[in-house]
Amino acid sequence: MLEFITRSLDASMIFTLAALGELIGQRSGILNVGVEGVMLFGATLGFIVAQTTGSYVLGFLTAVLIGGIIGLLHAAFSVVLGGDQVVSGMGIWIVGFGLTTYIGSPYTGPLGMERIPAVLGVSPFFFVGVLLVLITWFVLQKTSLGLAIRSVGENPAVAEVSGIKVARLRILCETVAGMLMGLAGAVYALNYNPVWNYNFLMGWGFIALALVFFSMWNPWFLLGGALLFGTMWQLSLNPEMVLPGVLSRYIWRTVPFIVTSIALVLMSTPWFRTRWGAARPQALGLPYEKD
Amino acid sequence: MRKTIYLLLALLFVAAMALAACKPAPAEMPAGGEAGEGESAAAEGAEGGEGAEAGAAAESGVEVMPAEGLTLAIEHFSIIEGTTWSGAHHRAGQRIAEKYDNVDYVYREEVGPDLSVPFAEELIADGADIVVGNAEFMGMPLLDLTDKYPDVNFVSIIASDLTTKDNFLRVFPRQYQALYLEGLIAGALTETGNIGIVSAFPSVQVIRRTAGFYLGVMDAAELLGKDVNVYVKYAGDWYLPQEERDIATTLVEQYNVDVITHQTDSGSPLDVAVEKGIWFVGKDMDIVGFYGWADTNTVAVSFDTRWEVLYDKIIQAMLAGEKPPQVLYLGMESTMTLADGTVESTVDIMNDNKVGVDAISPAALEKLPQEIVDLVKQRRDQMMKGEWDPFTAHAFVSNGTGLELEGTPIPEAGTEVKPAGEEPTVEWLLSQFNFDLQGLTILE
Repeated sequence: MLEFITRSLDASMIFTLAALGELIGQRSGILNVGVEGVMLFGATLGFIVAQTTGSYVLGFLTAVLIGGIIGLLHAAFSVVLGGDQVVSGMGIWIVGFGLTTYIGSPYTGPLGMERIPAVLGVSPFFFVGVLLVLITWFVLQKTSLGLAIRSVGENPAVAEVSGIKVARLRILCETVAGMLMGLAGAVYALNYNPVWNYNFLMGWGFIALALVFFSMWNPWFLLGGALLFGTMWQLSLNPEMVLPGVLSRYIWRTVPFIVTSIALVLMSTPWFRTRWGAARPQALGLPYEKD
Repeated sequence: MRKTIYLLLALLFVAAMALAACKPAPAEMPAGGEAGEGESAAAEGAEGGEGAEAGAAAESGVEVMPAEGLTLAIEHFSIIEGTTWSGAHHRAGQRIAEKYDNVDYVYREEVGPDLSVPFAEELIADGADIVVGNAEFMGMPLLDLTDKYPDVNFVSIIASDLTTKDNFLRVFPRQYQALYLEGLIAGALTETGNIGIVSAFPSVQVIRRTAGFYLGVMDAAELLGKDVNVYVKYAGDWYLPQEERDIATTLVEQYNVDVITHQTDSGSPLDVAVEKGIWFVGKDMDIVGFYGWADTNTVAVSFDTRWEVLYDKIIQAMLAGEKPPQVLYLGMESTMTLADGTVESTVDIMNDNKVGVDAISPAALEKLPQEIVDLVKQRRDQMMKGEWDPFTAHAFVSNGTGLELEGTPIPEAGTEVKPAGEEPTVEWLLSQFNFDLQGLTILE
């Protein structure tokens, strides 16, 4: 059971980091459906660098860097060129899938490094994830920068008039988003399952994307959702470990998505929106061109 | 400013596309080797124990002309690099091209069942004489091309179907022989008396391989007077890295397994073995010597599959103007001489580039009783000579679990399906062996 709990927390933090990145981007109005692709890049290059140099630090830094670069490119396409954000995101995923398979294949196999030590019995990334959620919530809700980010995600024209550099802020947010997604990929490849295989994520990025909608763009809801999804996902991998004989893993695998559907229905009700004041950024996914 | 960004993005896109286009498929391997080696190999191959070569040319009545040169095309269902299945097939193609001056090797990677036919037609248009699908699910569609290209031999790996035609050949190595030797070693190594197998899903191929390993474990246990349990847990598919990891972890944590092996394709079970400090038994290739995925302090032994021995039989027949056998099921008794003069058998235990008893890791060897080492050596020698086979020597008693096949239900638990000393037929082993052996624990 302890193994299951720690593994669930590990999985939850990967979802948290990736989804938190996406949340920051979406709060500024940029949709990136290519979370999976950014994670693949971060995971693969982080794995290669860590294995080649024997340094986890360099591996994680590389993952964050490549994530930031891809986020920047996505922002350049979406913000500067006014391109379709879904098309760009899909491009990131497809290129990520193909290119990381090509780049990573020679490194197939276990990482072969000493494990990152646990802190108080759990992965250190649990604390990193919770801390980043706290920081994100604080910045978004309690600072002028957060107000500016939310403004450009809601109504960029008004934000521009009030003196906020919309393009600059969106590029910044999307770059940070990419960095977090790259970090999430590296946490997967260097800590959760430190073995490189082609297409190893198999949909984690898309779950992270769904989590943002599930969270109603609230970092704390996102953390709760990630813990739920992480636990359910872990349970679906090998339910007999915790609940022997209770439903097959294929049924368990659907549970996070059933929960998401129910939650989204609930959240779409006026009662919920009024109660929590949570809503989709109005300018999400829409290109903005300064008049 | 915008022009610059456009230019930058265009350059990035072109660079990405150019990089992607560098992917080396299809590629042609240069033919190598010394002149005359093909002849000597043909002579050597003709002497092999070919009881497992069925449905030969004489039945077909089709006149076949000797080929002056051949092109072997392999369609790999997965990527090659870093994989033990396609990696072994690719190495086989390379070794064939090195051996024969007049045989070229070409290939395609990541060929799904929807692509095996169109890719095969492209390869044939480029001169392929033999087209191999290296997994059954994408090799079987090649059957549709057999009438259109009667001069081309199509080859598919066998998983559970045994359909053949004059020019639709089926091949598989008797990996269970090497797995039996691995089982002997694993059975002797376990101190907790618990061995775990992370497996894909019940299929004839998986059941057969598991049976070979299990018989070895049981023979070791009997010889040493130990109680050993073998646990099998299915992941659901061949390649599910996360599931494989969790199953391996469960086997260690809940079932106190201290020796683990797998019938799946990711490196996750190996990584769990490293993490938990238990023994790992490899499959399909020498993962220490060829890929360096771990060292011999974790990998007690592995086995290596030399598909080139099977391909060699087909090529020799075609070069001689004969129809190749429709079913090739070769074991340790069948060998091939490589371009460098190395004689290798179809399968063998192998670890850190060593074969036979030397393949047992030094750390594991220290823990093995001498009678087990001797038995491994004895059984290997006997199988090399074709004098002994675990599936002939042992009775097959059903566990009551396995795979329900059309017209072949799973025999009830305790049913003796085959007595000891009786040789099972090739057809039965390849397509009807659908039950686990008595004593295996299949975990839900």
